[in-house]
Amino acid sequence: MNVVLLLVRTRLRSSLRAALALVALIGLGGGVTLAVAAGARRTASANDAILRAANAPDAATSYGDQHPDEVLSLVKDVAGVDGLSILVGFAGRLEGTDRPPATLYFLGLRTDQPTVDRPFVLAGRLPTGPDEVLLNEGAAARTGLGPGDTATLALAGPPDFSFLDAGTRVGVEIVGIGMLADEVVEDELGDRPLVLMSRALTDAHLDRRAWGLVGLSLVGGDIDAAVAGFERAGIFDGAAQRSGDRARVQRAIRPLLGALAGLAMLAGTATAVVATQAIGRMVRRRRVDDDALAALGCTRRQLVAADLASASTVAVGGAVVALVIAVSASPLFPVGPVHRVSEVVGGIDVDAVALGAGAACLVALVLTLVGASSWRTRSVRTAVAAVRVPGPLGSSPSRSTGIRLTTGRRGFRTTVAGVSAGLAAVLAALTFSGSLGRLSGDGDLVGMSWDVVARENFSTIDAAAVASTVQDDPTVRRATAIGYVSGAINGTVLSGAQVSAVVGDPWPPISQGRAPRTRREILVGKAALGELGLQIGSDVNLTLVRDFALGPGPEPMPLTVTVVGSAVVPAVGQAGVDTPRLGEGFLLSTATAEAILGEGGVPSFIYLFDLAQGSDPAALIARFPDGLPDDSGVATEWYTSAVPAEVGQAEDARPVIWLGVGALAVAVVATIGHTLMGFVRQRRRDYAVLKALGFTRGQIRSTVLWQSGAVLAVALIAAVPVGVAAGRWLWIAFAQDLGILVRPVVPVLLVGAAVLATVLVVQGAALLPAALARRTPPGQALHAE
Amino acid sequence: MSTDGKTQATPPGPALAVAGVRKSYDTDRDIPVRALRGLDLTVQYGEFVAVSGASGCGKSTLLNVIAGLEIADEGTVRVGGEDVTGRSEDALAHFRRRHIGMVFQFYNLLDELTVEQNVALPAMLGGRKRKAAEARARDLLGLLGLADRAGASPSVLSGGQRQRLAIARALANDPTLLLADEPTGALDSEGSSEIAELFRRLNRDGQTIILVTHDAHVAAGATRVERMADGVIVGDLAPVTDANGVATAQ
Repeated sequence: MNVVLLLVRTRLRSSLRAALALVALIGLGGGVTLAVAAGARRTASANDAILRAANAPDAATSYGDQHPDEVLSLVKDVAGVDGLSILVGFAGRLEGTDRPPATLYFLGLRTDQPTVDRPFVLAGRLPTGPDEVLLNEGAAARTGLGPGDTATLALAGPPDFSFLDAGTRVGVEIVGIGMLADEVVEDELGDRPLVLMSRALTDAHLDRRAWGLVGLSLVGGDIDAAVAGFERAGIFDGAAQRSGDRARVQRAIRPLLGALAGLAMLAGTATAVVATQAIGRMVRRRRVDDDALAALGCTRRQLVAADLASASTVAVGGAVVALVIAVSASPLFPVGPVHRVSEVVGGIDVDAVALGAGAACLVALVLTLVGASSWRTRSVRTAVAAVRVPGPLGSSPSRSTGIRLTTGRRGFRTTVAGVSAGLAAVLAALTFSGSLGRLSGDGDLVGMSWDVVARENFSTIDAAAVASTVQDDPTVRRATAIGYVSGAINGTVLSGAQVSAVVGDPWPPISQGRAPRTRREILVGKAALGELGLQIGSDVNLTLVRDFALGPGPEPMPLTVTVVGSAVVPAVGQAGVDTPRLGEGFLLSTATAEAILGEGGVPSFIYLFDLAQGSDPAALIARFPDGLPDDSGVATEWYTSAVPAEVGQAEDARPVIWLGVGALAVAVVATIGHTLMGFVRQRRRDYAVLKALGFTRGQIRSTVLWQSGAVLAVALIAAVPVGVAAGRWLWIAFAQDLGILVRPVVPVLLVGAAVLATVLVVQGAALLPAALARRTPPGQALHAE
Repeated sequence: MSTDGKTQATPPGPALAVAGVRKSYDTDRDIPVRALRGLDLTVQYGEFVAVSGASGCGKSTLLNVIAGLEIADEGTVRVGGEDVTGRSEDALAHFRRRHIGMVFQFYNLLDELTVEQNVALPAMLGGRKRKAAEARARDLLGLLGLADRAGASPSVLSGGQRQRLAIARALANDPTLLLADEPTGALDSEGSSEIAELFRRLNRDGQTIILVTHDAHVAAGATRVERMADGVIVGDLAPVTDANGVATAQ
């Protein structure tokens, strides 16, 4: 042991600067890995923490016009209920502001201090007085109101929910700005402008209630049993919502977590490979002493132990630096809108499990690889090192010499492999990020192949009037009406959408198969196909549910249909209704819906418009000055994009991802530069010989640049295709999991710029060792053994 | 050493004129080490001068200063009539191409190049095109008995073969001076004899040689033996042989 320690101490002392540089580089690459991995865990757990803090319901359902006390008596017998919230829904608007009236969602509290689905108060307080309300951020933005402001609350009432009755108006005060837990992660069009009414205000206007929400917090988590309990209780005549907030949030953040995990994996792989190669080179440089040590009686085990001990000091040092970097970077996480709820999440975080395990894995991997290499290379003694000698000299002495000094040496292949791995990881991350960047700009990928969305909730839209307005409009290429419906395929409950053509082809982007042509054909989302175990061409039994939104009508008739394709459904959605999105649910034509439900099918509350190139959406919106023609005066919501929550999360994560990619690129390029410095140090004698032969300083510099260039060129030849292919593969896996169109792109300009930047930076960095080589005094080097 | 059979005219003046050269090195303890202390040495064309002396007397430093690999603090060095002192690094590199061939104790070959390429490289530096340089290399290797190893790596050669290769490389540009620093120091007795005989042959063919050595057998082949001590030449020694005919230096 004393011998091993002596060897380690001596070796580290003689190459202290190189060792410290390696510690810094491993620390940077490892820090990116640990930061992103821990950040992914924190993002996942932060959303969970918010849901726990809010006691978000595990299952929820909407109910009709029953009195909430009646609903409470029906629900309290559902098994496993730990707590519940009952909210009363109203149709209303806030008047007396300087903004045009906007559709707002009014929810009345039945308790002053909710225990389930607790709102987060971002400013002010919860409403308790008889004229107090709290707005969410969406409502505050639309109305321009804040804590301390007053407005007039106009509530529509049965039977026609008209705003013309003067008795519906009451003065209110805004006492706070808040957020429900499910708003932290939601689709762009799921951003409902919400007004929470105090219990006193709610109870005073129960006769104006239009609908309600029941949320259950369960012990034991048997959501299916709870949903069955809802149905038995007759609360909701049809399929209740199964996807509680937790499941929806976890689904929405899964692609983000996948992207972060992919980045961590790339960074970790690159760091481990490059670190192993660099540490291995540092260890091998001391191998020249082996014969002398063996002659003195050192065993192979002792020499390998010395190698491992040397490597471990660098690896452990690097791991410590990585931990410091990871903890310092922790305030960047969690990523996404969840950052807004800083009372629950945010600040410095030490994830002992992720950081400890990650650091241990990095050290263990490096030591395993170095140890194996050390043991293997000492197993055979070779009197003479066989050196591969390539072809004839070229016409340039410095080019020929530089290339041969590099390629002819033992260790060239491992050096190139290490550099390739690092560069491939960076290029893979760039390729993936380049495709990720397209998500927000290409609506087709997420099913949004239209330019304008017009949405109303639960009012009867005059479809014929809409059609007559746009049918002859040359700027409107397509117009589609969407109506949501619950149903079941082969007994499995799913949400669906009826797609009706107003102008042109009504279907969203088809990812597989084709669009339905007859009433016996439907589309099923890619994720739903997998869940149901179906394929394109499968025949299924389709049933639809006639709920309160569809209104009265004949009993739905089951229909056998064929799945002819899969489509990406735009994440438009509708308040209070489970709707298909991206790869979920099913799509059917009006003919299919009418075959099951009867004349009229499913009423459409959403219209989508695809405009001709260069057309201005504002011009289309101006053609409906009072919104879509309807009978209730409800304001129409207009949107020009429909970003799903998953994409929004990934978008919010882009700065962090790019920061991680940038840090990884710096670590990889710096390690390559460090490797080249080692090359030059090892070749002091060679440069002295070249000087003795008559190489000028410029030729020495050129030789060094050709040395680094040779390594870089071979590494890039391997790294570019491997890295781009890996990035494409990661993107394809990500897109398939997300249920969006898989259209991987190779960001040629980005990859080209990265390659060019790498060449410039590395060759620029090589000027430093080139300068050292030029200044190497040859005398001593030439006369030493 | 020309391989085309033509006799070259001897330029006027000595091949080497070193006058009053001083060279010191700084050490960690800020006490300079004075390697050369006003050394004078003149070598005529065609001479074979052996320089002997104790370790640390400045023999290797002398060769480095002559070759322009180190710059003297004081004094002048003229090789082939050219003043070496006061030149830039690049100018010295060009000077070495024309006038200097160096042979080292530990060969200092480039293992990543073939045997032939090790000799062709300095020929290319000296201005020959690649094919001409390779032809020159083959000629020299033939003269030195290494023609059959032209395509091999230097690392597979024996010590004596490596030193012959180093000598071939040193002769690539017909240097004014062939400088050798302990060329037999890493060889066995057979190899040493082989190299010593090679140097004598080269000198008989007209090559001017300055050789640093502890090996009396090698020094015995020289036309003149200079002894160095404490950074100066302290006298010349005539080569002598003992009762068994083994060359010894005084």
